[in-house]
Amino acid sequence: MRIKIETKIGGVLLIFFIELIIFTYFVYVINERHDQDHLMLHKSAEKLQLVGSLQISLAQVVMPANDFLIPGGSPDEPENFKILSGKVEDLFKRISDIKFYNIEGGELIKHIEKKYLELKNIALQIFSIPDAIGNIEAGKLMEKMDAMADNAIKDAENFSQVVHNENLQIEAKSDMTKTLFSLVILIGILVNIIFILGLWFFFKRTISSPIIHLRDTALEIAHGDTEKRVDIKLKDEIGELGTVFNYMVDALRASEEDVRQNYQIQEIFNKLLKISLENISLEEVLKKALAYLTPWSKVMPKGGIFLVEDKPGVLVLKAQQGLSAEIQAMCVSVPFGRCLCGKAALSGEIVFSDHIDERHENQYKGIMPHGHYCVPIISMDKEILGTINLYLDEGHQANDKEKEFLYAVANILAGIIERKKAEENLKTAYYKLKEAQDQLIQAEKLNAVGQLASGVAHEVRNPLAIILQGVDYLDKKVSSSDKNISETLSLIKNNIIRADSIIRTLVDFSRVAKIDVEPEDINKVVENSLVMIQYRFKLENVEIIKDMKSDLPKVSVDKRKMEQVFVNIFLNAIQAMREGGKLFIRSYSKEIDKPKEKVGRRNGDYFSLGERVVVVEIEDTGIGIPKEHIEKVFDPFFTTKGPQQGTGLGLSVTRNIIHMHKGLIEIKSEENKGTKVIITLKIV
Amino acid sequence: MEKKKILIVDDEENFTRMVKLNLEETGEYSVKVENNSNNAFMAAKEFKPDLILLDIMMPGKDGGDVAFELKSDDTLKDIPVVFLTAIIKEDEIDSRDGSTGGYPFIAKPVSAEDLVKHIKKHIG
Repeated sequence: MRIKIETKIGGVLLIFFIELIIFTYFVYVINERHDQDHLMLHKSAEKLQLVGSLQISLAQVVMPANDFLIPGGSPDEPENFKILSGKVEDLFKRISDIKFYNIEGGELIKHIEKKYLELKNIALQIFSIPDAIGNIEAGKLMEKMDAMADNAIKDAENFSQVVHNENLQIEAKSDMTKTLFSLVILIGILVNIIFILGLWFFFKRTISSPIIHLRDTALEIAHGDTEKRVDIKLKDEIGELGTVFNYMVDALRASEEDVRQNYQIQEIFNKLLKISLENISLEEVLKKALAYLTPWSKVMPKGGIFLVEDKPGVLVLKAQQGLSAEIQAMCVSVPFGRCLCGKAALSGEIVFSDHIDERHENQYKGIMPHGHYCVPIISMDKEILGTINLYLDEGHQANDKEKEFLYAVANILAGIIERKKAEENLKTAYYKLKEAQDQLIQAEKLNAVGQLASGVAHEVRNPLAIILQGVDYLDKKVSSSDKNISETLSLIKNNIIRADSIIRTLVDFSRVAKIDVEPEDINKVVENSLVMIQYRFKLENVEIIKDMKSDLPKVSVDKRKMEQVFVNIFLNAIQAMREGGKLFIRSYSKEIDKPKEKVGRRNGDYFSLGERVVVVEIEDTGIGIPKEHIEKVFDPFFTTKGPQQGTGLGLSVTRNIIHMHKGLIEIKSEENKGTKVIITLKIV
Repeated sequence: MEKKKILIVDDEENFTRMVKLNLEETGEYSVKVENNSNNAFMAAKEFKPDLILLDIMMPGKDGGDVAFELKSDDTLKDIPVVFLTAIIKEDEIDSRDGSTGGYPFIAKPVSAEDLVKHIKKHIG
């Protein structure tokens, strides 16, 4: 039962007060009795004195009568008797006025008075007898009176004894009262001491001790022992204070935990914002974000981040932490609706599980018990960008605060992802622009070269035409007997033709030609090209080894342009194998698996990943191309051949033709081992 | 056999001179040279050639203008005209059956032998 502390204190003080009243009352009562005893003693003493006087007076009162009868007695004796009797009567009256405490005393004094009255009557009779002296009657009366006086005096003595006894009794009683008084005072003092000790103990137990305990506990908590709690079993305000104090400490701890969590959350936010500013790839951003997030689930720092990529409705695992190879393999791509993350992506809401249930569709033998938070990453346009998957301890209690936090993290990631995507688009746009610019520059260059070539063609070909006509004329006119002359003329003629061929290639190169594509069997195109220059292979002792797959898909090419390409490459190969060698020609179809220049998903790329293409590889066993030259082989006018052997335009023209077909040409070479040209073409 | 008459119109005097020498050397052709394209029409009128070799890029009237002039004259319109040019390459002429805009072409530089072959294609 709860008792208020003021009730307790009031009660205790009331008891103390009552005790004081009782004590005072006792003292008062005993004091009264003491006073009474004192009075009684006084009266008793007075009585004794009166009784003594009475005895004397009674002895005296008979004397006048005796004297009266004695001859020669004074005639004043009756008068004396009267005075003495008055005295006796006054004594009787005074004695009677004093209260008697026992009947015996009262009866006795009445008896004595009665005897006196009879004595008085006799005395009066004596006085009334004339000539009483010697009168027998009077003598008899006198004897009777004396006897009676003696009797009365005896009674008075008895009475005196009674009074004396009474006095003794009163004295005894008074002594007892005194003892009692001392006893009461002693007991009173003892009781008060006990009461005061009780009060001290009471205040210590109910007020002082709990307050000190509270103070000490508060100090300990203040010094960091937050586990400490007060233990007050009182059912009063102080007890309640203890309970409230404990409640306050709990609340304080809870709010401290809250603050700690908020700090942690703030820290994660800060880190996420920081990585959003870093110049790193999206994959790295996701990996770092995951590393910050996973310790949040304390026991199992594991998880992954999925993104929606090219295929809509499919989540692709982009970053993971602590996931086993098995799980990684299972979760490479997860369609919307499958597993917890697929469900989160489908619903656009957090999916939570505190244990592995039927929603956890990707399971395997020996899977550790755990729970999950799967958080959808949603763009500003409500598009599902991906999901965050975090592992939790089994039995984890979800709460709104955590969910809010995770939504906020997802929003930050959404921002980063969108920004990175925008950056990627910007980059693509930049590359596209740069490419367009490059093409424009290239076109400009070609245009300039073209104009130059036209001018040069006109200006050079005219003189060449004159020289050629002149040489032809001389050839006919000059006698053929001189071998040196005819050789000289032939040399001039050949070099005119060579000069003309340079100009022709230049014009050819600069011409932005159109291509006429038709579905062709690339193997046939290669064969045709081989036929064109097969004599050269024989001449240079080059063995041709073909590995060309039949039934290849048709390719969209301009047959004549492609023949030009292959012839060009074959001629280069022959020139690289002056001592003879082997030329491997392979053709096959494949799917593009790696992104590279012009391959990927950028705008303007010729090929996308996974696209089926036809590849032709031409590999020689020639001298190869030095590393420092390999990047320049496609540049116009770059040549390693001697001045008489090449224009430096062959591979440049070749690449232009391939690019016009939106195809790829790559060159791989190792010095003194050989060169491999790989041509990748679009299929119809 | 009567010699075929060839009119050659080209501003390059040295070239026309060499062509004239080479063609006349064969003994089959009588060649007239006109180095000023503005006079080409008149020269054709006077000379009445069996075939005209006409340069395209010339100061004043170019080969196209001259050809148009010739075509618009009833007495000249049937004379075969073969263009000589330093710009259009041989391949292109081949790919269009050696002709463009209805006219055959010969690319410079051309050997005497090839020139004769071309001429023979048109006037036997």
